[in-house]
Amino acid sequence: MLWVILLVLGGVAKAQTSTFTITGKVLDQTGSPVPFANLKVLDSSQGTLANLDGTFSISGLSAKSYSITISSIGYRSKTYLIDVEKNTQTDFILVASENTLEMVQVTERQIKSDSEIIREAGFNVSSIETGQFENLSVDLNQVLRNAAGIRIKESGGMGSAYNLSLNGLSDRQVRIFVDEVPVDQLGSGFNLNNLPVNMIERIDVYKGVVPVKLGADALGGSINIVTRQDVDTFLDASYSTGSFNTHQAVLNGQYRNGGGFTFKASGYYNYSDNDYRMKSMSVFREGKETFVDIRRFHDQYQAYMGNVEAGFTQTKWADQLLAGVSVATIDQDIQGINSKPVGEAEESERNRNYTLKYSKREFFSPKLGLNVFALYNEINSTSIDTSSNRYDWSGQIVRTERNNLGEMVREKTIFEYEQSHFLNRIFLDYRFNEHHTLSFNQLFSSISRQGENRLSTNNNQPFRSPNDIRQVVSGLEYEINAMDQKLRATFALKNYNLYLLARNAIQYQAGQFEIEDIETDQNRWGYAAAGRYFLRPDWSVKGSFEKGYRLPQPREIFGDGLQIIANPQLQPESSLNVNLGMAYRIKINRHVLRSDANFFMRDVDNFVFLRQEGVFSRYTNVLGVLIRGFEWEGHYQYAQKLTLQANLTYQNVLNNEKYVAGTRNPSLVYRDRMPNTPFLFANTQLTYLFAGLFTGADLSLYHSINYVHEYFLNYPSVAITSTKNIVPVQLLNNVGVTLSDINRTYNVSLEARNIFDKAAYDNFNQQKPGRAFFLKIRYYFSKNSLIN
Amino acid sequence: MKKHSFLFLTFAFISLLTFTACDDNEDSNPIPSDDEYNFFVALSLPGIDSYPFHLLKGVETGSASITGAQEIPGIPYNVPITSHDGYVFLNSDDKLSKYEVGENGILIDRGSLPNLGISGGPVYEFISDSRMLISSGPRATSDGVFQYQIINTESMTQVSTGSITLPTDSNSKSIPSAYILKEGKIYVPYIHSDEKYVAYNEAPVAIFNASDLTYEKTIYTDKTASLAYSVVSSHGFSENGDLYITSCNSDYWGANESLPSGIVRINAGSSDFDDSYFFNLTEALDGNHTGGMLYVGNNKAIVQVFRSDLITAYGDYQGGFVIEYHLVDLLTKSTSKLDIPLSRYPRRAMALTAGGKAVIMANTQTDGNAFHIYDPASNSTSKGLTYEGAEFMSAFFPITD
Repeated sequence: MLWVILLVLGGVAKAQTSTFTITGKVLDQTGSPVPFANLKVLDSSQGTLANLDGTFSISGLSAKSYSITISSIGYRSKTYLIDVEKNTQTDFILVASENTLEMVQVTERQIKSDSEIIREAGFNVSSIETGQFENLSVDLNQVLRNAAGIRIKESGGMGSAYNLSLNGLSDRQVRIFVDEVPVDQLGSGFNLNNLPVNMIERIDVYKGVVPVKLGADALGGSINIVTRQDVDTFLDASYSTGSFNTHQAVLNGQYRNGGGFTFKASGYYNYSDNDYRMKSMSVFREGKETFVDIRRFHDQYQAYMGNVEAGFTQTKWADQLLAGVSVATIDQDIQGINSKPVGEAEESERNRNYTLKYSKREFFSPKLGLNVFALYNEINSTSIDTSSNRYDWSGQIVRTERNNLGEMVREKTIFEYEQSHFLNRIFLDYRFNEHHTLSFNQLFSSISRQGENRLSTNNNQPFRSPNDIRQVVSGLEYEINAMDQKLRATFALKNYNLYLLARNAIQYQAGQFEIEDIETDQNRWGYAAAGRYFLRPDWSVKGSFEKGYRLPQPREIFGDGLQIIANPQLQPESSLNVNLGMAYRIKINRHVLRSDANFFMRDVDNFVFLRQEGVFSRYTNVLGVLIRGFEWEGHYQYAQKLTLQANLTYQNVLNNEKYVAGTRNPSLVYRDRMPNTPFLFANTQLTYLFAGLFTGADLSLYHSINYVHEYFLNYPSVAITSTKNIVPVQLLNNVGVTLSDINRTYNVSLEARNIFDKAAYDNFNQQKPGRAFFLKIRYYFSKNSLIN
Repeated sequence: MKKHSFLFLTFAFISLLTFTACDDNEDSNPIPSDDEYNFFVALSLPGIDSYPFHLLKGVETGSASITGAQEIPGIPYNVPITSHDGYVFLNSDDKLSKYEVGENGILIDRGSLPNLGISGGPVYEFISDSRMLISSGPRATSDGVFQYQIINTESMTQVSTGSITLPTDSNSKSIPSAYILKEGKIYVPYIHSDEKYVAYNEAPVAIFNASDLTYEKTIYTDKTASLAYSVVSSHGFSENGDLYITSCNSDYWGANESLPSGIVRINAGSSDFDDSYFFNLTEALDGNHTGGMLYVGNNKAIVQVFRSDLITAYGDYQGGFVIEYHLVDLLTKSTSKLDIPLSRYPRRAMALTAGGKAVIMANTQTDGNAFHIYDPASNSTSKGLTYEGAEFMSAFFPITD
């Protein structure tokens, strides 16, 4: 019904007025018309295609300033700043290109990309443009390493489990969005190590303080992945192959006709044997322990996803109305859980998504914007662990056990569960004028999960009846731009509501274990503020804080129905997050320098941890954690040829419990650095473009370095230093070369990761792949088919 | 403008130096200088999944801190088994290792062999001076089959391996509690339970020939449920060779409180329960149930008691301060509470020193973590070594020569 109303309202919005038109001609330096030039209005999806005689018309523009980029094959792209106050007539001049497309600054005011605009918000945010990676065989995990404050710990090769931390908070405390849709609970198809970079335009990383439009219980921050927003018809296809029998194929395309009908299709296929060499692994031969280099076994991974969307874009009644369906399948050998070899256990997942999106920037009124979406997701997951064989790392069976336990030391299982998830979001923003904006966002999420072990004879299993979780996160945000755009400030109020019904959860009651229904309803209020002030045109300072919450997830409250018992008393994690930073940007002739530095603090209470309690375990609130840190990002570019990027993060993640849990006994590890947590890491990337090195082709080289300082598995204060287990220093060098034709239509890249074959550990005793080579071929085509 | 950028970079650099100057990875916890160690203590910081060890010179006086503890390099998760001939035996994910106590109390790896897996409470017994019978694999099965190894602890080689079968009903589970060598036989008290781990109203002890592990018979008692448990001292021999076993049938382990906790006896020279003997501890201890027993000589024992009135959640058995210790007379069936504050974490909390004193590990709410010493000669209890820095001490045993 909501959608019917919205569609009707969309029709009404069609009647809105107060829009203007720009008309004119695109000319070359001699005054001759440039036919079929592409004109794109930045920060919007508006644009048009010039006619044969160079004339054009862009309508539907509001009274404000626009940046319009004009491009055409054989000419240098050019961006103009236009102030629209009425219907305007103007001509644009393009200069013939010598070799490559290049943005030229044409006005006194700096033209900013979407990422730059995001960075200049009051929030502590890193925005990564993925264009620099699109010809490489990388996934989003590898791209995200290039943001300060982010550390991703992977347990193996393609498809392996990973843990993403952001300014010291990690995993469940950081929420992932794709185009502002939370995808954490949508299945493995949306995992960061599955999503190919070709499908992505940029990644915005909000640290600690999150705008209400990303309405979720993101305690440590949010990562919003922005998919390609081309208005044109385009096709982007790539295939890469490399070490460990790794194959990746990506298809991403869009068709749009003049009437606004739009059809999008995208998908990926990922496969790897993950049989990389592991060094000095312990195996027993004839009763004697030996250490050998061996190839990893039983770690095949395969994932594919397909997505289609159809509807209308850039019409007068909707900026976007799209219905879509996607399917994803993942089949994976289980390997290396807790560093233990596994020879036969495997898991698979099938998931389907149905989506409906509608947005209109001028809804009823030029001042009111609306963005809504609805999503229904189904996941079928199967985990098979039925083997009595036990393996060593060489893949040999070391013994066969005569009992009912599988390889994961749990009851043999063919565990299947089904999860259905409904997600609905509504976002409204009202722009009183260019200085004041009020926004409202509400995200409703309902998850139901049901599952059973098909091998179990126990008829009273938990999860045979559905378990339900309903979550509503609402936010109201007020933004002010003042002092001639020097000051930008945001204030937000958020409400977190959680309702849980766990049927057949294991619970301890009156001296006995009972299987019973557990119901809980929790409500919290949070608040946030963020501000940025330009001290000078090239200097700005930022500050933000938030009192945020993370609501417990189903597994944490329900348990797993097997050995994790329910805890309906589990409290939400809370955190007070503070960021203070400054930024510097300068452009002198062909030199561009950008530098961002931030101090951050996180004060977390009720940290949730899985505690062992005899033969069972339970999630409990155990710790307070204090995080203080510093991060720096730098970017230098010379003449669109040389680019050097670097970032560095130092963070002190500290135990903040004065007393031993449950006692008044002083804790010796109070304010000690938390164990198994990296505290110093840095990344650099150097790129050089040899434009026109070959006839009609460009060559680019890149070299990146990832560094993580060694850290203790335990508290620094615990145990004699010489006996302490250490996750060793990691210093990885990666190099690559890309050859592209001048239009970037045909691209071939060759890259070598970990070129010096250094030991790579993100987790203790869990080796990651060594040196590896990848070849990628990419084809990109854009028809420049446009609106109007 | 250039001046501003220089200032900015300088500021950033100084900030970085300020932070990195406090690198904690330096050798801040040096090796202690002591060189005589006779107690092994396992420590727990479950809030961060950390379980280091500490070797101590003694536990009757003084204090110690977790800064002097140690980890096993390369093997962060180990289950302590026991000490023998001055060596310490630890079990990890895929191997069982022998460690010598080196200078300064640092454990030195002296050999390993493949194990049968890892569980929280391996059951073991020395069947001769250099032969250890051990089952380190799964704790519970539904077919009653448990694999074992016999290990030459001098050469750290496997002498033989095989399996025993504990009589188990269908749709039931068996959990062996201990291997007890008595008069050439291995006695295996075990929990026989339904699928929810609730012990049946009959406590079995399976008996095997110690020389070849052939099955002989199973004896049952209906006086209590769930005899013994693998992670706590729960049996002892009197001076005349009688075997006393206590039940561990609280809802924490055996999960059958419909029957009383108590101590049963198998007399010297017999392989059956002495039906004339049952020490009803629940009746003697205000309705509470017991978790373990340490024989201290002269027909006296210390029993570990869970205070039922303080237990509201399952986690209280392990994490709540609900444990008392009582001295009991096995013959007169009298009891007296020892002067030890309420403590938590009941596992491997009692042991005898070479001098015959009983050591009780207590993790208390207000009095810190400490060892308490009961001296049978003077019938007195005193507070011994206090331990700082661990969330709790999780196990200990004397290092025996």
